[in-house]
Amino acid sequence: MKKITYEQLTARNSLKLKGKLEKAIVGIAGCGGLGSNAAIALARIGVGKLILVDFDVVEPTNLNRQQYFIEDIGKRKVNALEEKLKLINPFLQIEKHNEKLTTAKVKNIFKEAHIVVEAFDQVSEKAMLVKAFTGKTFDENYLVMASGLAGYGSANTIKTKKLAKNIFVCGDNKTDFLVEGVMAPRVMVAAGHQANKVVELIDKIL
Amino acid sequence: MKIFFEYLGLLHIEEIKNKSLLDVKKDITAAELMTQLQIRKEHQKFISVFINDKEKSRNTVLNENDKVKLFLPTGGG
Repeated sequence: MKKITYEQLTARNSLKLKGKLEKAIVGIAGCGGLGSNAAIALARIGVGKLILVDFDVVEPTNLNRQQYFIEDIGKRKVNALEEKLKLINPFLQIEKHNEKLTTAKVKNIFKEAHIVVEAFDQVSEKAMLVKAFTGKTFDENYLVMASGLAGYGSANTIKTKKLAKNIFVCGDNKTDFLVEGVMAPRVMVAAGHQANKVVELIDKIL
Repeated sequence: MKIFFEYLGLLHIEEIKNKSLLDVKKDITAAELMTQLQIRKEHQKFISVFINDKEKSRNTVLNENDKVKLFLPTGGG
């Protein structure tokens, strides 16, 4: 494989972020449509470390929105995503957790993370993370959520809003995947909002 | 008494204007407010309640002029 330097990888980044991105540790809670797209965006710009959490394997139905290939079907998502990320950014540190995230595990798994990207698809899991980040444990760490990214309606309805002092929500807060389906274009817009908010926060806190 | 009411999510309460003043009875709790607004029980359990920008228990009693925000995440990812 051809070799590149970290300086080459990040040469087109905003100069204001110099020295900050490589120090950032970001959690990815779920490596599906949102998580795989957000993780790739963050790896490309040179974030220092990603903590990947997912219990699932890649399935054919994932390919309409998630950053996996046919050859990945059957692989653990955390392993398949690690492979992709390393092909983009060999300097990235990756910590993998092939397990289901629960309230009890959140603190331990994400203890190092400055910011966590919430990338689950189930409402119950999203609600669980809100609880975790509004309790005493994590109210100094940031959570960047997604809510409402289904279907193919206007992408301009997807916004980033502040929910609490340390929680942001990206999405239209309306469209439900069970009703409208879920497809790459709007999922990638929402994941892009999430990754961009992560960058804004890195600039602010590091 | 009046509270400032805001919500994020598909709560099926379109008749209530988002980010508006709401007239509610004195000493109402957040849980009672959700029931009064006819928010479905299956949704209520996943709703986070923020009162004056802090996450609070749904049993919290609301006060005059409180800023009450309900957040129900929408599925998909």
